[in-house]
Amino acid sequence: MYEISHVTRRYGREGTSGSVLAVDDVSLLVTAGQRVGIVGESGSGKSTLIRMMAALDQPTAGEIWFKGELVSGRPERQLGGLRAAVQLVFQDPRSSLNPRMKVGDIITEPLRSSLLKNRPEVPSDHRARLQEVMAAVDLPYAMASRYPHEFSGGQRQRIAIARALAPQPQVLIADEPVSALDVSVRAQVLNLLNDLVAAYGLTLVMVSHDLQVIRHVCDHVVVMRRGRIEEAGPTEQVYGDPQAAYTKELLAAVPTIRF
Amino acid sequence: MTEPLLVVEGLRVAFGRSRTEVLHGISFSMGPRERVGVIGESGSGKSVTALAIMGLLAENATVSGSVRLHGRELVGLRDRELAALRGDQMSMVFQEPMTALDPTMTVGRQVAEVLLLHQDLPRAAARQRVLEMLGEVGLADPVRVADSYPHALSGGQRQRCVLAMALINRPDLVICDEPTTALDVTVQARVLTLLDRELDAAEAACLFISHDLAIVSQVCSRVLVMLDGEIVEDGSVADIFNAPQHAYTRGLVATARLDQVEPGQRLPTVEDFYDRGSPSTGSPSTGSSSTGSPSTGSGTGAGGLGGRPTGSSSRGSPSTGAGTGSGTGTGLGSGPTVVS
Repeated sequence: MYEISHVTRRYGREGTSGSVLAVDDVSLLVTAGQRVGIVGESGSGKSTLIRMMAALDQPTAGEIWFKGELVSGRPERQLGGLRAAVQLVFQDPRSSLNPRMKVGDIITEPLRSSLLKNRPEVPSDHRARLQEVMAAVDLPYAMASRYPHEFSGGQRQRIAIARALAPQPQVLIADEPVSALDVSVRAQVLNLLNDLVAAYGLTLVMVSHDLQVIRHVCDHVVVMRRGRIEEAGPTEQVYGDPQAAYTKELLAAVPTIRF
Repeated sequence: MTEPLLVVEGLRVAFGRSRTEVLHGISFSMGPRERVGVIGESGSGKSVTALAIMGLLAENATVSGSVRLHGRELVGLRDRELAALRGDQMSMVFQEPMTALDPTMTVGRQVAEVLLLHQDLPRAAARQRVLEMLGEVGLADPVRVADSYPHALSGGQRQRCVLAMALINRPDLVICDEPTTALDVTVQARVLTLLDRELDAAEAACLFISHDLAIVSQVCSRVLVMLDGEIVEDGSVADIFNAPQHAYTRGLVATARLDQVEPGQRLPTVEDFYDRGSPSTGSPSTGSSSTGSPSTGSGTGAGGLGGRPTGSSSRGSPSTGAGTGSGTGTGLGSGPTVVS
């Protein structure tokens, strides 16, 4: 699905004082149907990496291929295929949903995008699709005429997920989808994500600082630090027998219930 | 029995002209050096409880009931009298160190301010004490940190500075409101170890608010479970995790134990155990409406620790358990609702 080869992202000009190497020579292969988790502390480059995968940012060096097509360095108007197939869910549903739009309009907004609306794989019957995705995330259809502030945090994240599902994507990229949520609703949203990924055969790329969440949802894990991949592999293998010292440190720091 | 350090009795807090009550008369007490965790979801009243004890609530808040520290009543004290206690006998560590620190002042001056407000010290001695304290909270280069502005420090360094401010006067009570939520896991682990050591060194009691049950279990010996402005359960960490009495606590414990569920399997949710009788505004509805049998309090029972609901709703017979009679009709857990 994705082939990322020797991707580097530098902010600021090289050699200047404000220059930051956010992602440093990263190569990664994501196959269809995989559920890949990316972990690492703040500043490790995980968000920069997924932003480049979603073509929201461009690498300063290296190439990103999506389904056999080069997507890095291409102009926006040529990215329709990627925009339709890859959707994002962000961390904080309070800031990722437009407060002045009704929920129904928010969810169907991607369907009205000029890049997407004429593509055959994107549903054209907006009302029908709205009903479908709202049912899929367990929100009553009657709520489509309400505004985001009328919803709880967990419900807002469901709305964000419904919007991501609307254009029938193949890849879902989620950036810390549950870290702004209460523990009591975290389980609901994780269950929902798991169910949807299974039901629609989605490829999932999920960034989280919570190793337990990654273990629960993802079959592959990528450990990042300072812009580089420290370790990558099947989740059970990496968690059961970590190779890199940093992975061991991360795993040891996971709070466990002790008494 | 030792004299309790803090006694809270029938504490009620209401906000605004309409007097919307958010804390419905809670009572608990803490002994010296005791560490008590407070868990519950956002909006359950955890932070309001902390702020009410500290006397830091906004002016539109109405507080009634009693909060006594060393036997001295704090409710109704003048702000000047409270200010003399804050930072000296009791102090608070907030979640976000960037907002807790003043961005226009060096960290050293901020920590010294807390010291000088309560003690008459020459400047040089105060500076010396500040540097000592910054070293004590594990900052490698206290002189550089003291002369830095908050923005120049990392999140972990900032939170250590906030801890230094909270502990420099060796208070008897430290209230921590989600002190590590904004930190990375590795930094969090280090800050928690530090907190543990410093609380011991200062011989301070700690009221520790967190939504992370694992952290509470590591830091505290006792836990209060809050729900909709009431304390629904109060017990030792072992009891809360091994034999939770209230249905809501059972749900919270089960849902927090990600490690006990096979990857990819359905996680138990709070709603599997506890049915919010009357759906208040904005409460998430998980699909099918569940029919919880109305009862007050809790069910004794099998559901307990990390057990995934097994399908049947035989969990917990209605009983008069530990539940305080809450006004809203609480119900026992309905069967697991199937999502999607």
